[in-house]
Amino acid sequence: MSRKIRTYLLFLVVLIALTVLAIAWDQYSWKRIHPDQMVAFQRMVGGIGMGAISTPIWNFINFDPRIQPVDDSTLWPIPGGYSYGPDRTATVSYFEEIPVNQLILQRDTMDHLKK
Amino acid sequence: MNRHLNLLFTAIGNIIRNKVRSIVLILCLIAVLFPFVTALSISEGIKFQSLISVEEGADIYVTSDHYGSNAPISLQHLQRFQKMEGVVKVFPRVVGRSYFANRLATLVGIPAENIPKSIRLMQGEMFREKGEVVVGKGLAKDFQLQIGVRFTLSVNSSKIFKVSGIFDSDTTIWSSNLILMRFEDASEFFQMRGMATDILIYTRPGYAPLLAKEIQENMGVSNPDSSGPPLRVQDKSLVKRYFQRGFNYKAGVFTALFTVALALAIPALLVVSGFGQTERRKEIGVLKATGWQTQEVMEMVTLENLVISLTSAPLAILLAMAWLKWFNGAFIAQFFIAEIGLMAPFPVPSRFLPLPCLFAFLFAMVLTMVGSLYSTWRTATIPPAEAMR
Repeated sequence: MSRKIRTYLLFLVVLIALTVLAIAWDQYSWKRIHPDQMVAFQRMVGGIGMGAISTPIWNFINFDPRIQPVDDSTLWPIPGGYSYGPDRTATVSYFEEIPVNQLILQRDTMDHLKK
Repeated sequence: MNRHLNLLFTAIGNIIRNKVRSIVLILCLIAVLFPFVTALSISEGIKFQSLISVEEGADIYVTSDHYGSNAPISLQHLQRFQKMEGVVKVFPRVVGRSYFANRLATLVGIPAENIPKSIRLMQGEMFREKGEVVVGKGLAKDFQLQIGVRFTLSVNSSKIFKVSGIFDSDTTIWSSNLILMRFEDASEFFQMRGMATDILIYTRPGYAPLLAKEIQENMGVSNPDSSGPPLRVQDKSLVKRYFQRGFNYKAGVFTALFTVALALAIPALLVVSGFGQTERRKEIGVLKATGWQTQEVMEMVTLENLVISLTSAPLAILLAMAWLKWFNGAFIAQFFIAEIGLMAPFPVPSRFLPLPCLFAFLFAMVLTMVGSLYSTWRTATIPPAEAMR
């Protein structure tokens, strides 16, 4: 084994050890975080913001689906309506409108179907 | 064991000997892995803050439903909700938006009694008097807002606000462009007196689903007897479903874009790893002529790829970590958090978990293997004389 190979192997071991240590440090630092200010803020405002966007632009749903759980951009292509929001792309979060079943079948309709 | 070790040393020797090829390959891999690691760590960081937003929020959110969209709710409902069994606290909230110069800001109005004593501000204090507001650090920094500055907004220019405090940048990413004020001030500003954007209900443990159902049934869209527009009710379980779906990597558009980038990276790496292909063919030809088996050549190339991946994945992780922690994700974070500009006005949340880092290494392995294994096998299976030609 030449000296160059030994040096490369040593570099590799140091690099991997450094990465593992850095990940472990990051884990530890997150555990040490006391998110008391985040908790106090969110309790005060009743919970605001969820997505990877700091301003309520284009679709309020990407800012916080609790505030606007209806995705207005799906109204497109109503003439003069909204267009697709460019900020929905590429961010690391994406909130889809969760469909809610609002269909109620009436009993007489069911009887009619049976006949 | 010795044979495998010898193959490993030979593989490292090859990497050192073909310096240019190895460096180009490692740089290509870092370029591919860096955005991947960065995006996943930012996603995990935001997820952490988002979970606090969900957990510390209300148990039930009630709004009006106008033509299928959310609409303001009358404050007349407050008393009715307060009287319901299992309800601990009820308060109205105004969440609106308005342009602050050219910046879209979130305006939030809450009852003054809802302000906890433990809240810490970067400067100033929480609002006490009519018209006082607390602004986010992003707005304060960009527009040089100081304590005591008075301003109006074009939506209702008769309403004068006075900055009483500036939020700490550590609060959350959503407080950066936020203007917090008293509920009455927000109602006055939007000229919607007697209304709130939503009513927040806090319940005793276990009561939330029952109460949500009760409100929905009595005043929801399905009740034809209820007077006025129907109500939309969202409980914590629904909000948690949004949270889980919103941060599912498969649902994110980022993954789709990254898959395309990855698909393009494979042929690119195929070309890059073929860099010096003639020399490679000759090398394999010589190895075969000196008695090496095809299996041994393949093992050596696999070990070469392993070493290359073990070099590039940790480098990409360390680079991403350094960029996010030391330079606050300058120029890069804007691709993953919308509307923050080149330099984020708040600490970009990032969390490096072991699993995404392992994925980064596996990605590097897949890319290098796809780029080299087939071409090596083809060269190793032809007669050595032809390979050396």
